[in-house]
Amino acid sequence: MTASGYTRAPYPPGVLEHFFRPRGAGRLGSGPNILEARVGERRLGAELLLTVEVQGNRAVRAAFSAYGCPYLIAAASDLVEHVAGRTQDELGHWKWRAQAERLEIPTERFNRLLLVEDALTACLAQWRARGPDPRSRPAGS
Amino acid sequence: MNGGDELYFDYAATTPVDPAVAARMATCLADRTLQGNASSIGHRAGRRARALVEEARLQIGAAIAADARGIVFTSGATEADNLAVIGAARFNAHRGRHLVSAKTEHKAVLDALAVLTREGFEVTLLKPALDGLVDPVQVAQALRPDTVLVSLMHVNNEIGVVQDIAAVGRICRERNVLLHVDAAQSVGKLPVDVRAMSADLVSFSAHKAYGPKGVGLLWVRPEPRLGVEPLLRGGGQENGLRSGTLATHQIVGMAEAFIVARRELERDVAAARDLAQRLLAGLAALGGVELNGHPDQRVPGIVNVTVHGVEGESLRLALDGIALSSGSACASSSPEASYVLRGLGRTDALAESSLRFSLGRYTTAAEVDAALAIAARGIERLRALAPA
Repeated sequence: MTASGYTRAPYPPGVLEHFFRPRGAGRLGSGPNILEARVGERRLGAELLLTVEVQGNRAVRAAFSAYGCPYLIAAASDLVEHVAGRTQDELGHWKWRAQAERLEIPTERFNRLLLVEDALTACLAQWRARGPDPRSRPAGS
Repeated sequence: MNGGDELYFDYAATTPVDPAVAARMATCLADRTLQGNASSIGHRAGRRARALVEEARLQIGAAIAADARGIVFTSGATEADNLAVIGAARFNAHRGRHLVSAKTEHKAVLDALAVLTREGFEVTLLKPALDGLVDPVQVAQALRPDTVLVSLMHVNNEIGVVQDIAAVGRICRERNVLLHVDAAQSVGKLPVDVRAMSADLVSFSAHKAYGPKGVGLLWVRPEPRLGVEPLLRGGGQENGLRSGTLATHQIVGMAEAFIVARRELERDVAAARDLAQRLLAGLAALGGVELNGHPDQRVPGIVNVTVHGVEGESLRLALDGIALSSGSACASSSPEASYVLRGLGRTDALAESSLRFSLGRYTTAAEVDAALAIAARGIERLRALAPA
């Protein structure tokens, strides 16, 4: 770190951006099109609630609530931004490592990304468990 | 003092240098005739420097109500603590090898004790009550026939509580046990009276009291003279207790700082009390904010609070713009939650979501209000972000 580096908060720019301006902060209301997953435990220092609204085979929007370090908040916010407009298959290919690189998250904080992945995986499992959306089925099937 | 537009609330870590101190030091540094070696008293340049050092010694002695003959100048309170604990224990080991201190002492004392443990000394670390105070009765009960030294801090650097040193001093005198007091945080925050402490060794720092960094002192009881084994060897300065060329400009700076601290004590304390009350009231209004340490037996300028319902690291980042210390050590040099707060029964998580605001001579009400605004915005935002 350069001497001038000590005058800045020790977080990557992407993390600071999401931490101070989180996307989709909050919780989507319950409903038939809402997926919801709660992962982590507050007593252990990290808890994440992810809600995703889906229509057919596509996620419309998402929101999150988080208790945890800046990396968790940033990663959750980044995921929420990523989710909107993606199909189930596209979200199934979401990779926490790519997010880690994009946000410059240090290795010792990768466990926060695994928590975010757990939340997305749980939502996807709910989505798949619903079966194909009637609107996406071929006519007559 | 602030870093650009940052609000400075870290006076317990270090204070800005008082202008009078800077002026006196600058004079010392600018005048070549004052820059001789204070140990070289064979010529006028050395004697001039020596005169400045000895004048400063007397001024400091008067400021802390101590026999000036006992003052040993050091590089700071850390060195003074090390010299006191290690030096006194080693020199007096023939009297016993048991030491008593508290879990909430500064690392300069605890790590010095750890050195002695490896040399075969036994250490009893007292656990303070949940308010941070050590009951003198605890000290009395911990003493053994082979106890040689008790080390207890006057003002705790993290939570600001003030220990009843005079009572502990009386107990130690009755039991013929040496007492070391770490008073690094005391000058300028409350009246300092070394004689009333009944202590044998007392550590001080200059930079906690608007003096320069890099200088402090250990007061060593001169009458009857207390034996202390030096840590540094060489030129034999300071009666052989601390070899090394005396830093004349630093020493006169410390003297000026202690003079100003004594002169301004009432005003500084009253101002700190008003500002601390304003700060604490504003924080309390947020709800879920708890003061750490005894509510009354404390110095006013250190306000340590635990903020419930927020995670510690995010709390610190959310309060970016305020220079303060936290109960975690991501921002300091130690990788764990504050051992002082854990010693008071706080969990790691609560210790990490604790903040130490420390204010001082140059803090203004406007700065307190600005810090409160940042704190309120950050804390409310994080609480709103947390899952219900």
